[in-house]
Amino acid sequence: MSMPTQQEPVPVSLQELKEMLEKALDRQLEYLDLNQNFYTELGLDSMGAVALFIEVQRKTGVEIPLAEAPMIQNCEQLLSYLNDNARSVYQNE
Amino acid sequence: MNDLLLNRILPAEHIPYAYPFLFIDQVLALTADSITTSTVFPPESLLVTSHLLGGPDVVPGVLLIEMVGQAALLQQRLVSAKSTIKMLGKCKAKFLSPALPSKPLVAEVKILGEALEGSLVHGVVLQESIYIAEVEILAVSAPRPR
Repeated sequence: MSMPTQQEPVPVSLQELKEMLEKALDRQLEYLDLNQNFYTELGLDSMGAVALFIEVQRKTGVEIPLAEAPMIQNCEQLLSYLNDNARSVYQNE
Repeated sequence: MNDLLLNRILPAEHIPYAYPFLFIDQVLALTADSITTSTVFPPESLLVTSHLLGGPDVVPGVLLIEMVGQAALLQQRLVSAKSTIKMLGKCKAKFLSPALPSKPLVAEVKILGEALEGSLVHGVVLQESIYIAEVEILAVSAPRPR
């Protein structure tokens, strides 16, 4: 098994996720509810979605393809996706 | 890409803009995630003479934002042949010094990230090594015509 390098993706912390979501929403959140729907409950629009996914990709190194993005509707699904795909990248090293 | 090849790039052949709304004259540098372009706004251009009436003749700041956006689109067309038309979604800009006509404005643009057919772009515009503007653009894919 190869040693992790500085370029390898890492999962994101809840605090980091909250900050990224706040930046995408352009407002502060009182708390982070992992099950709140980005679009129907938090009011994330298409621009915000682009901003959120770009920021997540930059922070974690995990790419979220266009075809899979619509299935990620809340933080829990996002974290689950990141953890699954970060693990896949490690295994491919 | 070497200078000879860069000099042969005709921006109008790659991005859907034309005079008087094409703001790239030349590509100076190109990498996998960045581009540097040069533009000169002629002093007789209506875009300059009508802003500001009675002077001073300065290039409108909003055109510098457009310049950065066009450079980013050109970069993506040249490097990855992506054909998605993008539009301004969100934008932050700082204007540090006036941009003057007749002298080259150099835009150094970096693609910071891409997702959902949108991109986050950061650009700095310089004129004779002086910082003119700093621009950050979130570009989103253009909506389908109604």
